[in-house]
Amino acid sequence: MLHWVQYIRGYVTIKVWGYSTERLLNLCGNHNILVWDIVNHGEYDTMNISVRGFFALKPLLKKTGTRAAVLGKYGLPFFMSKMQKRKVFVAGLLCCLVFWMLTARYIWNIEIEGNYVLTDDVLLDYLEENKIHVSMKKNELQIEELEKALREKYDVITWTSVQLKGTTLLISIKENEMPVYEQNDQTDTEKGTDLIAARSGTVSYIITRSGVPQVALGDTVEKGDVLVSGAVPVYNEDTTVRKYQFTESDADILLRYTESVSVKRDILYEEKKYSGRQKKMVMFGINDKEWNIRLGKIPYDEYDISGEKKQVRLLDRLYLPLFYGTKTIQEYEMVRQKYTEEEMNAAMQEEWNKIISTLEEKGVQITEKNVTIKKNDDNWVLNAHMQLEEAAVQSVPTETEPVVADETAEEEEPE
Amino acid sequence: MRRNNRKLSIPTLSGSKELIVESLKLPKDTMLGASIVTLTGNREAFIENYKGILEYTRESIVLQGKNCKICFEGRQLSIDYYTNEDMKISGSIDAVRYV
Repeated sequence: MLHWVQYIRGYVTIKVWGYSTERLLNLCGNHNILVWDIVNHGEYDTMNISVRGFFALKPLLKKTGTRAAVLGKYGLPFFMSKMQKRKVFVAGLLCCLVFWMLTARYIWNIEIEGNYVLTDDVLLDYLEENKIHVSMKKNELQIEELEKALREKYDVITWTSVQLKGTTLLISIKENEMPVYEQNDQTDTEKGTDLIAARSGTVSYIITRSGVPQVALGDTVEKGDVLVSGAVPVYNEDTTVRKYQFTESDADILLRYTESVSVKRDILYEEKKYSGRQKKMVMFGINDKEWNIRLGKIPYDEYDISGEKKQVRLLDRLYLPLFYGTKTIQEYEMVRQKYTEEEMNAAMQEEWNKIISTLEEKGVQITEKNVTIKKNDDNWVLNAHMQLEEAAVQSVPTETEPVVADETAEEEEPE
Repeated sequence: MRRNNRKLSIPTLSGSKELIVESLKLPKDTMLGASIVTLTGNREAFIENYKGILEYTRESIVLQGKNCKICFEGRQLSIDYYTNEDMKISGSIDAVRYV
């Protein structure tokens, strides 16, 4: 505290020598002149004295027969006068301070933690939609509303905490560890659904759980034919339809159909053979424009260019539209090659496996297959004739005309 | 003889003063003009109630108290601050002597 007062008021370090410095000190004490850090250097003493004290010192020096010299000036008054000579420096200092204070009012970084199911990108996009982004003003941010909005938007979020740490917006969320089952809104139960064929074929298996089957085992159906109807008729005594009760059809149905696949594979192929010669170049870019820096022309006929590009960023998420990176130019030569018999066999096997796996992915079963490989001079052809079974059904809303209304109306009338 | 008597009477007088101060529980430093020396280890000394500096070198600092001189001896002694009421000495103090 005292140091601050001394600094603000200003002080000088002086060197005192002469007949009796002790007497000078005593006189200083009597005249209420504060001196401190008095160090004896043998022939002379050094001490700190306030500016006002220094001016009052003159008669005392005369009285005691000592002399004094100023060694250094310290404190705010001296600093100020020094700064008056360095206006640009002071201006720079002030500008820096102002810049600092202004930039501290913006958000420069967004951090999200605690998210496992929701990715950072999803949340950042959501924030962007809500006009929360890097370089927005802090006071435009409504923390509590953001917390609430996040919880409302994503069911999986059970707890949110948004806080500002300096210029970083820290969003902590907790996700529900129990899976959220989406409650399917029961679509018009009054309307019911039909099952229709998603492709043509022969019905090879049918078990109906609800609804009225429209086809029998062995029937051939076209794409779009109704297999199971969701409209269950209720008959009158004279076997005329009184009304329909609608239900959601449910059935296990397999449709059998044949399909042929043929795959051709050339024996000859071209391969890039890298010569091993390569050149590097530096690239930089602004927005969509790119510049490459290299020495001379590219001395290769055929070459690949590969490289990596990095974006300049400040902090964690503040990307500037500046890019830099390196590119590698690799020379190559196209060489014609021929597959050997084993290689071709393996390639054909691979093709066949690919066909099977794509069918399996779709849930298609192969009941019969006939695969032939035709070896031509310059290519091999794989022909596969397959009989497939697939649960190719689609669920669509029932399209049955409503039952004649007057019959039901009649009933309601009292006789 | 007379001289002797007088010499004897001085300690009795001062003794009675001390007795009064003691019994009335008055502050001794102001009443008796005693200097207060507070030592913190052997690195710092804080002195109140003194009259002035008599000698100041790196090895010794001699102060004039009201009744006696106080001599601080040591190495690399320096005065941290010095006012009319109190002062602070720092350095390595070896001895404090009352002369």
